[in-house]
Amino acid sequence: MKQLARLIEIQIKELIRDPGVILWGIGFPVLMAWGLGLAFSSKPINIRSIAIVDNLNSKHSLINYVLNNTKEVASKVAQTRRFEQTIETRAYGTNKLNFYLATPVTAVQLLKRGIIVVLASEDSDGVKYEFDPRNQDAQITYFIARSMIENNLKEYALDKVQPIEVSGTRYVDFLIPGMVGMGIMMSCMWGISYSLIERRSKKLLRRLLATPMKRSYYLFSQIFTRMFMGFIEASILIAFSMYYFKLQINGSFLALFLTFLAGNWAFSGFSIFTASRTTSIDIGTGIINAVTTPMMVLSGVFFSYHNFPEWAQPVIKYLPLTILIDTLRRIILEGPDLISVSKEILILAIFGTLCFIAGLKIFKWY
Amino acid sequence: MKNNCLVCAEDIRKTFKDVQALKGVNLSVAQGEFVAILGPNGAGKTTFVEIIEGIQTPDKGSIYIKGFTWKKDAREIHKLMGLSLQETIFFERITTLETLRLFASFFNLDENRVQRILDMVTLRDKAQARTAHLSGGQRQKLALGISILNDPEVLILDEPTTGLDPAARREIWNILNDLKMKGKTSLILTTHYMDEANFLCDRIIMMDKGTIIKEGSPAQLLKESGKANLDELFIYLTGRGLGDETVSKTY
Ligand SMILES: Nc1ncnc2c1ncn2[C@@H]1O[C@H](COP(=O)(O)OP(=O)(O)O)[C@@H](O)[C@H]1O
Ligand SMILES: [Mg+2]
Repeated sequence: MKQLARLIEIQIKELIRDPGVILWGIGFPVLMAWGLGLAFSSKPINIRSIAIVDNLNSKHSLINYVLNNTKEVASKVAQTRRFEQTIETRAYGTNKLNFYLATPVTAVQLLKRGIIVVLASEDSDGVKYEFDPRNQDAQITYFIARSMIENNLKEYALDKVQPIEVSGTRYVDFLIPGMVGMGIMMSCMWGISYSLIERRSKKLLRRLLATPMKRSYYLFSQIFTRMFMGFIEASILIAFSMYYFKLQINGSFLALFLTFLAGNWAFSGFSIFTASRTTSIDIGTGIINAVTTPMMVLSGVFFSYHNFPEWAQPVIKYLPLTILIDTLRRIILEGPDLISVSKEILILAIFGTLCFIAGLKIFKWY
Repeated sequence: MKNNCLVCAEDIRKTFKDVQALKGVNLSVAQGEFVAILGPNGAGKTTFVEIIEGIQTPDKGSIYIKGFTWKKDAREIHKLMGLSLQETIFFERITTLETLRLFASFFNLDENRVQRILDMVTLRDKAQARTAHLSGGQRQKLALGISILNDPEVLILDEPTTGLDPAARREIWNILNDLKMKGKTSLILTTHYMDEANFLCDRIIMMDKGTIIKEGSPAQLLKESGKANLDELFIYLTGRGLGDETVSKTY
């Protein structure tokens, strides 16, 4: 037992005394999440303009909404009054809405000139929205304006339009679970596979084996150290995202932790397998890149793998990294119960065990 | 135990692809005896000692260590053997002291032993230095420290002073000499320095091209051959000096 404790101690020290580990294991993922998260979360304010026309016999609900909720500013367009309201949405970032109060004739003019993209008018039948459905900007403006107005007005709030506020629909929400999964894979493949190959090629393993050291202890210490480190890395990334991006973990932390363990075990076993034979660092690096790069591209770390052709889907879906990331994503974004992710956890665990056994069978210590 | 020999190697043969590294080598080492295996690069020294150490397996021949065989009693042999490899690599970011502690844990040894060794190999002032920052001589002393941690009955050192300056070599010799005085350890040492073999060992085994070409005590060898010194004897026997290579490639 003292052997094992010492081995773990040495492995951890060897790891944390490497400045590269802090940089690549912790700093890099956080920076990348930060950069990509910002780049795709459309932080700049979108200006969206809509005309409001109040016809005869209307209930004045549009006008009332504008007068009660927005702020009047100077209008540069003749015969109109301009009102402003800024609203934060999850899906579309920050939006500043311009409401132009206008007559029907002026409103159409504004639409033609491109000053507004949506025309909302109200008469005795209720509110009517007009816009060019092929214009995406118009669609979004309609979407936002309508939900703002209708959510505000009880009498029209028949079908609440509220998808914008649903959590977990932003790019960062998609990205973070992907990065956690990728981190687990990279941490194992470089931390276990590469390290074993390097130590084998430098004849360090050979030296260790010329003692009564237990081989299983050595492997265990290596796997354990990586899990420990991977746990810290993932925790920091998730904590950062929760704080900075207000990422919501909808599922249970237990499910998340078990998936983390299963994923780690899957890639630990896989690492032992890939590291089982070669004595050459160059070949080892090649093998590791050859298995990690395709998964990084295909398994949906940065974008959805549903964009790949249909025929590739069955293959992609059963890559270990895909299973891991899909499960992490479901837990974080959708909040399923433990039972409904248990199948994936089991698959990962079995995959790891099979790789581990196969790897040990053909393992060359020197 | 076979006729009183602590380490017995019988007719060891080993071939790598096209190189016959060992062509039937015999060796027996008695308790407390210091034996040098002397030969130029490529003579087969490393292959031979690694077979004794159980790191490589011979194509033919058998090894008995205190009557144990590698096949059946690896754990027993590990406990009574200490060794250092020709190339000495440690965990880079681990200190001297931590390295010794790690190896001590493999043998179930306590902190006292670690501290003793630190003094024996005179590395106390380097205890907190990372192994990557040690000089060549300090690394060899650490390797030696590790090899004698378990107070081995059989110590096997593969070129422990190659590449070191005279002062550092002298330090290693002193440590080994102290060990010899105690008389509990048998040593098999490979070297291509004649003076080292002469100074440290009771018996010199001259090896070239995978065979033993001459063996005996330094005095015996000189007397029998009638040469002025051992270097000359080696040149006389092989037609080459010890610094030369037997094969074109270095290993
Ligand atoms: N793993 C190996 N593969 C191929 N040839 C080897 C291997 N190990 C040693 N040799 C060859 O065996 C011969 C003896 O090598 P070695 O035992 O290292 O000699 P020494 O230690 O005396 O310098 C050399 O010709 C060397 O090239
Ligand atoms: Mg050698």
